Amino acid sequence: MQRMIVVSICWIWLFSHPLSASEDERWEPVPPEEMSLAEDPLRPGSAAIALYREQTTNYDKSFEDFHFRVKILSEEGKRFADVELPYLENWVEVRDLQGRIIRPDGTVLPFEGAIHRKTVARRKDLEIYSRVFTFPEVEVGSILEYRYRLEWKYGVPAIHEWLVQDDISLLRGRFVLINSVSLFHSLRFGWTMFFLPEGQRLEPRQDGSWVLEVANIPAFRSEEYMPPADALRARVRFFPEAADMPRGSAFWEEFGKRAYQSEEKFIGDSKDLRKEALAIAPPDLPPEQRLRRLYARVLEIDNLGYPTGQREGRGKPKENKSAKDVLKRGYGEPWEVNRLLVALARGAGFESFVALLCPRRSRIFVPDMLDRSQLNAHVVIVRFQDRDGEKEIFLDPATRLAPFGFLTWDQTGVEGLRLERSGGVRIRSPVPKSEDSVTECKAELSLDAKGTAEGTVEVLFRGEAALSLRTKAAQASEPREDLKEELQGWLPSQARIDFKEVGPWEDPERPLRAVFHLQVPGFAQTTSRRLIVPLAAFHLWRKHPFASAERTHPIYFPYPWRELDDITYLLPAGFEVEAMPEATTAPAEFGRYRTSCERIEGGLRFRRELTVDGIVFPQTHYPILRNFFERLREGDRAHALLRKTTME
Amino acid sequence: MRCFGKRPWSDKFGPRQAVSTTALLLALGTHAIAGGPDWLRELAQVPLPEYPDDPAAVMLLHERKLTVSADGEIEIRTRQAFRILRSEGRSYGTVSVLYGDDDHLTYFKGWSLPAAGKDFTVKEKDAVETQTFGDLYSDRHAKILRIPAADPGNVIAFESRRKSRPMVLEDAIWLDQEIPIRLSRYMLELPRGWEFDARWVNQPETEPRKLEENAWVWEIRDRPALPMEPNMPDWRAEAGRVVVTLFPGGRRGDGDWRSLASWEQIGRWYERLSKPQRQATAELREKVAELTAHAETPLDEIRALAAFAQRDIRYVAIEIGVGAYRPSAAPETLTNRFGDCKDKANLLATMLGEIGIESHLVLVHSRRGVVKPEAPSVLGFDHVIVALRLAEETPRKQLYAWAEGEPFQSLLFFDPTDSLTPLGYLPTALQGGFGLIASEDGGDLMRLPALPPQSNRMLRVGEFSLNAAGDLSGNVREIWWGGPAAGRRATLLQVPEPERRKTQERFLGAFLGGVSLRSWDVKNLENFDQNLVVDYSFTARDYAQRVGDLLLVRPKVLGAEGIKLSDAEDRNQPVAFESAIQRSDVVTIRFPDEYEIDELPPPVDAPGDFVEYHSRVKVDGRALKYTRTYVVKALEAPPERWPELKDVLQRIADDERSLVVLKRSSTR
Repeated sequence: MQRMIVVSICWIWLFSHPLSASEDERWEPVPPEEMSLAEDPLRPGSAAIALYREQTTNYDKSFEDFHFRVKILSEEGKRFADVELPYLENWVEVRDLQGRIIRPDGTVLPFEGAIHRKTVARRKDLEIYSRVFTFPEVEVGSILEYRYRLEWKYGVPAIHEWLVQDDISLLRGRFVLINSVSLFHSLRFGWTMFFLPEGQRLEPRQDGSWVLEVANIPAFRSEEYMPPADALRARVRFFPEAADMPRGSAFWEEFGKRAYQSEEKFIGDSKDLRKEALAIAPPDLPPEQRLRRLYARVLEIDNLGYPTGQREGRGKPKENKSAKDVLKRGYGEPWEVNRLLVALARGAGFESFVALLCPRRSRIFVPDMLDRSQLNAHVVIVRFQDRDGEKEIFLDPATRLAPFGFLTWDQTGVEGLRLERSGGVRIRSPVPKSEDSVTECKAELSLDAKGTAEGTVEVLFRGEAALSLRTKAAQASEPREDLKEELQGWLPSQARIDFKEVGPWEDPERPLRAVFHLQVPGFAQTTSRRLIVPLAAFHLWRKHPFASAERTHPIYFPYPWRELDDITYLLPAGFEVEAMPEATTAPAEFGRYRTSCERIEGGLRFRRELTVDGIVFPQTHYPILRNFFERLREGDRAHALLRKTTME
Repeated sequence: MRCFGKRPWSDKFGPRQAVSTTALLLALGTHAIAGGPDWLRELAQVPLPEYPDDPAAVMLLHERKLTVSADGEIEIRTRQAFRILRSEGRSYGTVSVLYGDDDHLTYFKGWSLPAAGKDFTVKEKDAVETQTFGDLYSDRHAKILRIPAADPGNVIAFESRRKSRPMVLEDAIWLDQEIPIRLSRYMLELPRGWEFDARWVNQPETEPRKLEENAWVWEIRDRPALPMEPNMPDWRAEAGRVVVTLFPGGRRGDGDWRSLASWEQIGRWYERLSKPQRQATAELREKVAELTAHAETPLDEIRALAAFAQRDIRYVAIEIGVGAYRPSAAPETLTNRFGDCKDKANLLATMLGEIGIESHLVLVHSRRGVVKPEAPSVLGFDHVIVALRLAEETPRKQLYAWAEGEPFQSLLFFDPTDSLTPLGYLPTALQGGFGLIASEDGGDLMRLPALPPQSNRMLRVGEFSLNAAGDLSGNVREIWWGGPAAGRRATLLQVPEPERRKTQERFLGAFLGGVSLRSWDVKNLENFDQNLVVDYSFTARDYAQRVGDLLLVRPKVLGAEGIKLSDAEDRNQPVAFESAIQRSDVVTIRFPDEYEIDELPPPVDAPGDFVEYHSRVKVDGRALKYTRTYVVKALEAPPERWPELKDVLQRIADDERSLVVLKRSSTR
């Protein structure tokens, strides 16, 4: 479960007073080669390019200076003339804003336009505004230049980032860090650089500052099925280091020790909890069954991480101080729910731990980055002995609809720390397998001579496939309608779905099951002599995930998955099977795809299996992966031919 | 786009962008206290009738009260109350009020009356304020309040009051929502001597009940839900509304420029407001001369000026005070090289004037059908375009956007804000709607032209060969005209050039497996006056399926026509088409020598009043020749004609999946 919403303060570009009305002599001349530049050499065809960018982050004096020089390369690029810069009113002040336009013929025009303050979102406790302005007289070939100072009222945030790689290419960049006086008293200050070109690094200067000079950073381009963008962009991330914390691998050990103490303070060692644990999970039961009972009990706690209408508007509930409070009051924050499980498991005699993980939804763990905020997912590890020996199981009752022994996909296969008295122990959470997320379709469809298919379909969702639907259903609107929409997306638009049974929505231990009557007019194509029947009924309208031949980034699936289909087609009277497709098999290192079609009495039976057992694939594997999905699409387009036995 | 006027009416969906921007803040929760007003308690007691359509919620009260004080200040009080019936109705718990910099929001409170438990009240201080409406900057604000416990069975409500001195003495209330309304009430309290006009849209005129001297109330009870259906016209075109114009004492007619109750008055008002902004300067004249220097004909001159206003003046909407209605002075727009819709239209009109072309600003709504002739209204417009009066002898080739009517006879409409639709065409959303021609002689409401299908065309010609393994390879040329060309250009231009090839790969990937794009070239991408031509070649592995000794070939190869079919047997709303169009495919597939034709799909002839479709597959030697034509002939089909339209759409869908059966020769 996400421990907290990570407040991203990465790029808050701030403006305040109107731009200076006069041309400032401090503007540096634009080099002739930049004046004549007509094309982005790094990404030809781009709409604009950042010729120069400078950012000075001064921790000593709590300000940041920004300087941008952007060249418009196409009509589309003119949109960069509209500048909109959000900021948090109570945290920052903007000063010394200046701008100018350099026309393609080299004449310079100081910016004298109005700067507006726009309310992005304002509430009594938080005010987000943006400064907006637009450069006049912008043409293709114009250079727009602006700079400003951002004064942080309470110091530049310790967790901070220079996003070096943006959505337009950067020709030259200079980033300066000034931090000679520690503003953080007991804190030191560290940074990690990501994806910077070889040899481009932060270098110390004689004046005590650190300077990073970069060149030729291409624009960042997103692709489908790529790892989190933040894990791929060139950037420098700053983070505080407590002065009393060790560096290197010892950092995580020490951090784990301190986190352990904080967790233990809450978990405690209550006699009442021990008593309760033994009552829920009597020692005479097998260990896993006992643990399941404890898990089920913890799931009954009102998890404050999930909004409910009943709770809404009643103000903040009283803060829990211990696991005992959570059990007694019946509610808790997500991490408190997990801590209660640790307490109860220990009370029942299990060895149990809190573990902190780095969820991979938006980032990848970087051990060298001594930034504790990386580990913001909180789960439970329990060890026990059974007939097969010692087992270690990861649990997360804080995810309300997660079944026993199940972690959400972003917490699987990631690094983290198991918190122990002696310190944090580096661990990796279990890598998910395709059998952890299975969608199974069984159908018996009768065909008529007009090509209509009609019958009963049963769909079973297991694991992540069920959890994501259940979570969506719990948070949003009518669950049946949401599911219907999901299923409708698999089928032709004229398909009619009438549910007979759907559920259970609230029991995570059972698969989510949908049984419905399906009618699809025009499912099979009719000709004068034949019915041409598409066989992979639930996959005919799916898009190709990898249509492009080129690939820049690695390929990344949230989790492995499996799809199993077993469809019986009953033939209409007066038809017989003329031809069927051959069985297909497409094995791959990372999974398999296979289909088969066989005659049965009165019809055909089509079976299909797709298994994808991998999460991240380097871009060098793209052709193999693309080929696999192309074969899948070809297999899914298989038809059987039914021939009329009696001519009308 | 909304680049003309203030948003005055209680829009059903509220400021959606604002809701998304502020979702995080709203999610942080509100601190509610108990209590609810008596009017709400009374409403909550009233039992509901049975609703067969199982609505998500019922609006118990939709009330708007407009009070004008003796000094002319206007207060608008809004009360809305809902009973939530299904979990989908929870969204009604997020409510908003819109106001401008010059308005004064004096009251904003929400309540929740749960079926069981304590009531909740949330106040203005709990609301999130925002100005994010999609334009760069405007002086409009929204306050958004999330009312707690908007759960099935509970009643939620809010009340807002704001005071203002508006530029235009006009108000309106929507009478329909996508849920049933138990009671719609509009109340009017005017100072002595003030008068009003009420005009009704999509609703028979209803007489008010007089409450006291110069106070009236209109009530409509048990209004059913406005059915929301796929491909329906904009909901505002179908919903009932009342538009009310106020007249300060004794000044009906042209006496008070804030009171505009006829199209004529509105047109004259806008002409007088905008005309002073069309004064040419030396710089402007110089620019006109420069732009037209190489033009050979008057039409070339017009094209040059239109292209300049359309492409060289960047669209930027900054609207403050009167700037919501009045365009910036043309020379200022020229200098800045940016402006909103009225600035661009005004600049073009000024420039046209310099070459002796008479033109008019035209007030329109950016969604077809919202402007209704029976309800003259300033606040019903949100966009400005230009109408040109051209000389009789002007050649009309490739100029399709003409409309005829008194007193202007023949006008050519043009939207300089749409950067992709060239002179001679009109953006699809405007076609067939109404536009008000601003003129000193009084405005004239005209129906904007609906361009014929022949002006909005796409022709795809494919030459392919198929091998015995089922692999297909070949070349395609697509030629795009008019609206479809603008749409295709938009798709290409909105992505960086290096990414554009991928859009073609994605298009192919939607129809073909194992596809490899070999070449791709676009001509006239930025020559908007020219047809867009796209040439590409590709190979699609295993395009034809081998089943025993048969080979199944889909002759259509590419493209999907028609609108998305629904399983609904009947409809309540018309089916709206983007524009009249004509798209054709001509496909030749050479098939392998080892195979012979075993069966061809039958020809399809699906004539219709709204959509027409024809396809043929023929054999020409060793090649299959597939041709098809899809024509949308009207902008709208009435709901009662849905069954026949659905039949045509189904036949199109069937044809697109149809297969040619080839049989291996040796086995015959």
